[in-house]
Amino acid sequence: MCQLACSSTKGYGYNPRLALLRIEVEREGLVARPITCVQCANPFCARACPTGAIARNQEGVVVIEAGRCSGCGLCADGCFQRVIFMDGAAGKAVKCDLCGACVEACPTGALGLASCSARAKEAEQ
Amino acid sequence: MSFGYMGKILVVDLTRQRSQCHDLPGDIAAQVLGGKGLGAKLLAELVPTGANPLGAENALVYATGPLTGTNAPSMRGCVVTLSPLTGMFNDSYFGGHFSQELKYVGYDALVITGRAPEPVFLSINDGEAGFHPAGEIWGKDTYETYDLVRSRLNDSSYRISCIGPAGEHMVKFALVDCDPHRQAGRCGAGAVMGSKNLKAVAVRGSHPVRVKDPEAFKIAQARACAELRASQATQDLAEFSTVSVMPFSNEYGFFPVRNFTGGQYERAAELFADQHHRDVWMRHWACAGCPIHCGKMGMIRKGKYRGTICDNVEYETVGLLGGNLDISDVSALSYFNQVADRLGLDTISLGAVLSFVVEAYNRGMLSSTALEGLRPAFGALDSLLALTQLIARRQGIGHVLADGVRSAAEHIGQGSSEFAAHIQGLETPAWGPRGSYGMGLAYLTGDRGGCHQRGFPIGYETAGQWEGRQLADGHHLEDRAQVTIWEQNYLAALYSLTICEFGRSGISTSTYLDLLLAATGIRLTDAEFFRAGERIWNAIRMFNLEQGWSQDRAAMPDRFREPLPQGIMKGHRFRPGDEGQLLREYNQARGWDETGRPTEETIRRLGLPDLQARRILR
Repeated sequence: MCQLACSSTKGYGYNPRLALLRIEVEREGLVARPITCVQCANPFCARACPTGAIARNQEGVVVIEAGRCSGCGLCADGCFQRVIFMDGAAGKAVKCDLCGACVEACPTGALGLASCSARAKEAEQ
Repeated sequence: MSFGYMGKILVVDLTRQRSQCHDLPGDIAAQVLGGKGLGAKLLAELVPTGANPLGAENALVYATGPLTGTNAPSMRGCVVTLSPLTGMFNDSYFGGHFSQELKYVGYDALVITGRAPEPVFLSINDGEAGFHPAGEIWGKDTYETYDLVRSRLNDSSYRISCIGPAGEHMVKFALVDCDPHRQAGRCGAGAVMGSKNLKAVAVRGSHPVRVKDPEAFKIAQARACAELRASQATQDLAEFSTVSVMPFSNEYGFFPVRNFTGGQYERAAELFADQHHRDVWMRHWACAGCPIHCGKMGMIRKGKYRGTICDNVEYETVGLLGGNLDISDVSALSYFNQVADRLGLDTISLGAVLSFVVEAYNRGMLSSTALEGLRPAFGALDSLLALTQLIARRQGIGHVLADGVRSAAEHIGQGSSEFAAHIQGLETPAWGPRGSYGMGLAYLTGDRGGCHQRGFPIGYETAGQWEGRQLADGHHLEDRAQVTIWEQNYLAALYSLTICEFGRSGISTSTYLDLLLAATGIRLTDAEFFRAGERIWNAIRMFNLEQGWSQDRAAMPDRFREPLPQGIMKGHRFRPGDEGQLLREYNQARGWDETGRPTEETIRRLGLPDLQARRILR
């Protein structure tokens, strides 16, 4: 439900493959782990980006500036969580911007929104 | 652009190893909706009169609904085919992720026709169909098949549907397994897949499902979720799975015990949800886009099968493999359930066949020699597991039992049909029918045989109310036709939306229709929705008649003429003549003649000739 909320909120329609978070399932479904962008203190995606399109905003969220993205995919290669996705139609990289649609849709309370200010401070140091 | 629907149907011809895409015209979609209605329409176009269900002329249809793949709560898919078990229409529903992925591939339905010369599996990646030799996967169980297919395609994100050894051997109650191990269980769709030499279908799609009015859809979706949260029945399912209904069914005497001799199990409490929770369950599990999470993933923690990772055992399986076979240990039962899932056997039919064998053996109608040296007994799991293996591969006596309980009783003779629990050739599920004339009528008139999911009058009889009116309990014959027809029409419409019946316990009709309107632009009133269901139900009756169905099949086995020995409904039985009275009132109320055939007037009133003339496949 989180993935469907994400893909539709971002305007892609309904398909979990078009969502900006993943679910990893192990041991025949005994383990299910949502994988989201953790807004790394040292974001590899930003370091890998050759055009400077990825930066942290004032709220501490790592965002992609679509106008500067060349669609090379180096950021996706660099992301250890594998949560940077390529929007095939636009030819741009896309990622979670902490909009919270997934959190709202989660029926069990497994997802939550945490403040990014600590991360932003950590990054400054 | 299509909204809700993908607007396309893929027809795969296994004989020539070709595929062709057809449009789904909007006006037909508005009449058949999807799922059951769409599958019935495609089957009627494809399958000739008097077809052999296991011949190349039968078709296997995976059908989705207009809301499948969106976040409208609790939507499913179905497999539709001519059943080798009953010789009737079969629509069998499954949760999980496979049907959603089929839509993301770009199709509302996938139609499999013909027969491959050698075992194959099919892959569809964003619209492209590929045929792959499946020689080395043939013989593997359903769990192994998932791994092997994904590894052959070098992509673990494919969603799989497959058969186990039972489907390969055309066991007439073999199931189609759908990712991740949800089952289109009943009436032998797996045997049809096996007869086509088709081991698996793997799909992977990146197309989105789009809705026409996203804002209105969001509001209707939120209301559906709120209705589910407010429903006690849904909350019970969420916490305790389908086993939550067991105390109720056992109290009334609907629960099958030792080949349906009893209706109340003396060790029932050993099978209640708290026992599963203590010994097996680990966590909740949900199908795609469903907030209910009635599934429970677990690990057997005690005894011989300790360490086995398994799904929860559903209520029907607790009934048919549990009480009906006197297996009261949840660990053993969980293991038994998984063996059946791996082999690809419907646990309801399997349980009824095995309990029949035990009774026939106890009565001296089957010898140990005829049973490969086995001495089957109620409660003796090892002998029952050994028989299950024989059935799945049609070895020895398994060859006879693999054709279902009706056929097995005919083969064994000696009056064994008296205790073969089936109605219209379909093994009886864990709901009476003793204790409920309404349920009996639903079984006698079910479009895929005696199935509890095509109408559930028990709910209204025990509540004493139906649609705001008082209703007498299950001992009474009057009003049963009305209630059963209402249920059947409503469910035929809902199954064409391809809902899960567990969602139905919370979501209101108006919310379902608002979701449909916002997603597709199809605006239906309650009355039009019921009319659509009635049209589909009648179309399927016409199909069944063409395939040779006649009303003499609608009879109770003698087992249900014996008085129910326990429970609130104690003493109830089907007397000679009861079926006749129920069917007379039913046929009349439906606008059918005394043989159960829709009259010309009924056919015209429902617009069936027009629907028949408009074809999807040209």
